[in-house]
Formats: sequence, structure tokens, C-alpha cells
Amino acid sequence: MSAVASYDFERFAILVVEDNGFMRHLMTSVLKNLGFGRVDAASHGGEAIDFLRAIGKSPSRGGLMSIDMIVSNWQMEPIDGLELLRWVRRAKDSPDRCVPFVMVTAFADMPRLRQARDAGVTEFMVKPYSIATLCNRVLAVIERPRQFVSSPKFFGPDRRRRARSRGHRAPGSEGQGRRRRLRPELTR
Amino acid sequence: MSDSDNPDWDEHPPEGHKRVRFYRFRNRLRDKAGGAANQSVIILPEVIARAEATFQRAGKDYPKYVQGTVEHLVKLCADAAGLSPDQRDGHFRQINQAAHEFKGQGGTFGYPLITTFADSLYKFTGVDAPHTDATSNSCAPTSTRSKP
Repeated sequence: MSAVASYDFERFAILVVEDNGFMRHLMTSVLKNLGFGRVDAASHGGEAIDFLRAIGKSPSRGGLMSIDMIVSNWQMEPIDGLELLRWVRRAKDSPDRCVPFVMVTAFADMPRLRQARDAGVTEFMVKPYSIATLCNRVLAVIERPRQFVSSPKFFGPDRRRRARSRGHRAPGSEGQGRRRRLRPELTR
Repeated sequence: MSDSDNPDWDEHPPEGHKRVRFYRFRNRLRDKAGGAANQSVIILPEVIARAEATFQRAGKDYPKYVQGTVEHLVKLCADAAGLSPDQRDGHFRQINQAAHEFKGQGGTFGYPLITTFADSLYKFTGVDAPHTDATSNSCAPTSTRSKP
């Protein structure tokens, strides 16, 4: 029987950004119960930026060298999750432009999803969510990291999640359905 | 140094050129979480159960939280009804934001009716919704409604 190991998130540091106190407390508690060693919280994008800037200036601040993942709500004031994401990916004083960013939102429409994707989001979690959904997103960040793309108009995880399937069609799938074409929007 | 090594290339590529770079990093997070390559790694069921219990406990406190927020919404509606249309924007924005939050929370804690109500309130108070005295009147308590 092959041994199955379990993840140990004790050395992870996560930043939760949520303006609603009830939900912020819940998300923080849940992540701690999932075993994440350090969970910091900010009540809006601006507070998160200040926190991340402080880490960038003094990496050993409070014993924290870096943030491994950001879990942020979208709609917040005065600085929302999308602006925070743009700052993380583009600002020169962002401590880690490649940090995984999970956007949590009740906006489930395609234009919003595209907006987040084009700003460089790593994973998207639509409310209402469950523990299983949260675990799936965390595991996706850890187990299926995408290559980063830097172009004049975009910086973030590769938006073409199926890019790796190019040239690797499943046996017996020849001629089934229309052949998927990779969107050339980034490489043109 | 070739053109492609020029750090200004990304910001100001030569005319007719677009620069795209791909970065493939070592999976630092998987290493950090103790997941060796080619090994099946899971989050233990008991760990998920512990987190689920936290979630359930929060669900029990949710009605109290909702009660407080609904009272706040009623106050906002009453205040908005007493103001002129150009002074109500802030109130409607706050109501709209509260509705947006409720929209996601209701389903999360097993109250789908809250999500349905919040979705309706969100659309009603959104930027595309008509903000007229009639709509403001309809959401104000009877005692504070302005007479036509």
C-alpha cells in the first residue's frame, strides 16, 4: 500500500483582506484550523498595501519574511480587492509580484471574472463558498502553479490554463469535436 | 548587451515589437508544505473537519449578525427617506454594499432566502436602478413616508 502524506501548512503565512469583521474573523479562524501557521488580516486593500509595503521594507518584521498567499475580498472601500491585486502585480514596492492571489467575491459574472484574470488573479472563489471550495482553491495554488507571463499589457499567472495541453491530445481523441485553438492575445 | 536584455524593453519596446516573457518558478509552496514530487499529498480529513466545525459555529452566530445589519439597513432607509434626492447617494451606496455582502453570506451559512432577498435589494439599489422619490418612499417605514 502506498503511503499518503499530509500537507503541513505550519510554515505558511497568509494575508486575509476582508472588510466585513464577521467574515474576516471566520476566514482567519478557518485558515488557522486548516493548519496555516500565520494568518494576518487587513480590513481593506489600503491596509493590506501598507502591511505588504512594511514587509518589503523590513522583511524580518515581526518574524515574517514573506507572505505566501493573499486571500482577498473584491468589494471593499476605500481600496478594493482588484486595486490591491493590481498593486501587488505592478507596483515597484510590492514585496512579491508573483504571490498567489485568491479573489473572493459574490460577483460571479464573466466580465468581472475576466477583469480579475486580466489583473493577474491566481484563483477565483465565488460566494457562497464552503470549506471544500476553499481547500480546493488552496490546493490549486500549491499543486497547479502556472507560469508567469510578462508582457507590456499584462503581468500575472498565464491566463491560458490549458496551454500545456498543446500537442498532447488524449489517445483516441483525434477528430473528436472542434480543435481548441490557443488564443494568441499574449504572444502575437 | 542585446536589445532583448535591455530592461527598458518591457516598458518601451521598439515599434512593431511586443515583448513577452515567461517565468517558470520552482514550486516553492509545495516544498514548504512538505509535498514531495510524485507523492500523493492530501489535507487530512480531521483537519478539514476541524475547519468545518469552525464554519458551523460561525453559522450559528450568523442570525445575530444579520439582525444587527438589518436594523442598520432599516435606519439607513429611514434616514434616506428624509433627505433630498441629491443627498441620498451615500445611503444608497451603503445599502447596496450591505446587500452585496448578504448576497454571498446567505448561501455560505445555509440561508438561501437571504441571498435571494439580498440579490433583489442589490439590483434595486444599484447604480443602474432608478433612484426616485417613489423608490425611496417604498422602502421607508410607514411612519416616515413623505406625503405625495
